[in-house]
Amino acid sequence: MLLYRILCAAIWTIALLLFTYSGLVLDVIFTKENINFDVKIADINNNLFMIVSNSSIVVMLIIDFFTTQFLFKKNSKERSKGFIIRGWNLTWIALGFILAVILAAIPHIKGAENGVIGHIHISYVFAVYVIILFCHKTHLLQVNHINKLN
Amino acid sequence: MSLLVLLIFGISVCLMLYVLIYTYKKNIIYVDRVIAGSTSINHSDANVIITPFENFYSNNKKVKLKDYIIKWVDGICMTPKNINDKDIVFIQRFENNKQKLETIKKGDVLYIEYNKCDNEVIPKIREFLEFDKLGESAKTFYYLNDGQIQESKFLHKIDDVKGVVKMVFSR
Repeated sequence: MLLYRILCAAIWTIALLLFTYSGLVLDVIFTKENINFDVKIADINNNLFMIVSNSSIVVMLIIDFFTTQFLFKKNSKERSKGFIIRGWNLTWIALGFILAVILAAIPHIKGAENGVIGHIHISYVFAVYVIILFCHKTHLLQVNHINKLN
Repeated sequence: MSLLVLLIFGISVCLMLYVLIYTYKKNIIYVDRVIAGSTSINHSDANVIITPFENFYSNNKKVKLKDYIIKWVDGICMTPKNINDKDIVFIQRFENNKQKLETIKKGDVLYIEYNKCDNEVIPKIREFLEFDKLGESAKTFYYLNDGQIQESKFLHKIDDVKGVVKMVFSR
């Protein structure tokens, strides 16, 4: 169901966004030094975030591919169904990537500098991309019931 | 600036969570029981929940939940009809008595809302046998534990017959 897909996608998105900030949060919790938030966020923007977000996408794509393979390996019918789903995956990934690139370009075309504002834009672009990917992916987790009277 | 960013981020996350939880709860369906067996036995009053994550398929088509009365089965008297305890049944409503007389056939599992004298409504399912000569009431039966047929103690008024079981799902 669409609602379920959106829910899962949102959870993943939130988790990843929180993960992006986790370095900063850990610094706040465990470091006794005074922290310059602007510098820290700029650090994340310029280095960590891009690394995390890019590597997350790659990891998710790999997980997506292998779990789909695993879930539909039981019999030949299901396997053929799996190929269709993988085909769909590629479509969604391609669409998501194009959309992400377009949206990411908009703030820079408008003259936004690297830093907090750029980071917010990229975060949300990334979120959109993840939502699109997982809206498709999570339907594998749904519960289906088949009528027994037929 | 950094606090503002965190604030906006926090508010966005909270808002998203609130909308998701609200939508999820709104789409939960609470299913009442229907008695399959002797109504003299105490039955559970518990509700069963159908979450928005569950899909129901019949003939490879997704079933629209709004088109049916949905009940969970409390009892084992319809086991020979492949309707077991705790199953979910989808019941097609009848629009009028004429439709009932025309469509109900022997072997159909009927959904009956039996009105007791103290205005207590007891929902139950019974297998249909035949109508009486006037077409005002239905003769039904259910199965005992050993598979023997047990005829209902009295005829059910045709007005009390609300639908016929069309689909059964195990959970």
